[in-house]
Amino acid sequence: MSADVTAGPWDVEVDRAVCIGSGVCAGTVPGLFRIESGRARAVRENGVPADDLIVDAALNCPALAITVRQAGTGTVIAPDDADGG
Amino acid sequence: MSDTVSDVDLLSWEFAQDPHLRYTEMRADPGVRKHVVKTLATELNAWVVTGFEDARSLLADPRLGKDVERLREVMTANAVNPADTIARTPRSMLFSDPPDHTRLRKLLGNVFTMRRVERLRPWIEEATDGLLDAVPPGEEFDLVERIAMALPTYVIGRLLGVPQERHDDFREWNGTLASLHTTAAEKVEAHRRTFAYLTDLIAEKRRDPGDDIVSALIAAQDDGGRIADDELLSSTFLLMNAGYETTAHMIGSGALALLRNPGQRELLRRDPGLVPGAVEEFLRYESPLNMSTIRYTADPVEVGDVTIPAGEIVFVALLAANRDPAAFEDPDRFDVTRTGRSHLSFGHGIHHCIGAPLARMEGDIVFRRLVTRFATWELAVPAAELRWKYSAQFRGLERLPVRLS
Repeated sequence: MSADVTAGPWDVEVDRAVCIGSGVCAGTVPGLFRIESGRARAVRENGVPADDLIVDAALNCPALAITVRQAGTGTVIAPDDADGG
Repeated sequence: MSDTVSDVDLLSWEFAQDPHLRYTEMRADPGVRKHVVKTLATELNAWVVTGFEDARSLLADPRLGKDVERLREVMTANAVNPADTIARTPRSMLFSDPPDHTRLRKLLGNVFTMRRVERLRPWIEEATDGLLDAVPPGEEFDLVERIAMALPTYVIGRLLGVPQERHDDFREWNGTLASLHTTAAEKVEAHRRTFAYLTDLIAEKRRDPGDDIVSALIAAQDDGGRIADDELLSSTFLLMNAGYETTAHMIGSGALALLRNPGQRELLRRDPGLVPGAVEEFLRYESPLNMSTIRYTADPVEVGDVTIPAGEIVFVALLAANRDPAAFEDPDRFDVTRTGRSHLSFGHGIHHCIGAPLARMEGDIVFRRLVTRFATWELAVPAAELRWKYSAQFRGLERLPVRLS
């Protein structure tokens, strides 16, 4: 799924109960994700401008702790659930 | 710069047998220094980072690059023996920077998420039960060979679709590549054989795809997945290479820690719910990777009061960082109930180990069974006779002769 068919802005949520603090997201999008007390946090959660890197971070999160949704509609942009959960 | 070069010999047999002693001295040194480090390919003059906070921030620092082409140039420039030629290898996610890294990792990331890995649990449990059923109660056997190596080799082999009769070949080639004993010519030959075999494997999966990762990567490639043939090859090599030896050392070192700490073993036996925490402690206490994989400075990087110039090689000593008293209270104490910050054995940042969920699950499955099946654990040789692998990359036991009943 690419960003152009899912225009921003987006809502970005990190499930801190699931997060293992790998730092993958903070390394991928340093401007958005930060590791605090060993867990990731999105410094901005709502109305985030669309950026393919955010989708990459969600897909590469080993804990699948990041959910990216289209603001307003709530449509999940990443991770996609094609593998059947 | 000569005043920053250390005379600590990180290549010696003594270092491999007790790296913690050396690392304790190095951590106490206020400035980061250069050492001679032997990689799979050659001996390099390289900076070695031992403190936890420095280690964690450098692992995630984008100024430390891994791009395979530039890395080769920097390695050549920092080779101890300038005549050494560094073999050209294709790109994989472990030896690339964004955006190549992001592209290559994404293709594999989906396979290794915790949710996917959980689906493998039943057959990994079955395989573990099979290995443990074959353990003769009360009789001496080598836990490294029969369990620690056997299980992860079987798991990654099956995931990749490598037939079981070829697993021993892989272990032999990998052993040659990782050892400090072997010559450069032997390493080149092991490398050649490994890549020749994987080339055949990929061709075979193209003809006759199966339910395995290599077939999935081929399908992704055919589907416009943006992975070149040589990248597919080196990604497969990476998964095979990284996929079992590290996990094997986690199991071997974990078992040794429980042999030496019967009280901790008893805690786990009474409450197997503590096993996931114990697995984290095994990983912290003896990181299966001694030093992180190789990085170079793309720009100057400050570490404490020292500025490492651009174009230098940096290794993060995970084993040392995990025993930093500034990060872990009483770091040399083995404690399965330890809480607080997590270890760096899987790295940190974009190269965080993609197989971490799988390794954790394998550890959970094996140790739950080991502590509940066997009440009595005995080392079958004097502790002083145990030998650690003569390798600067890996930290793991050669053998662990035990009696369990």
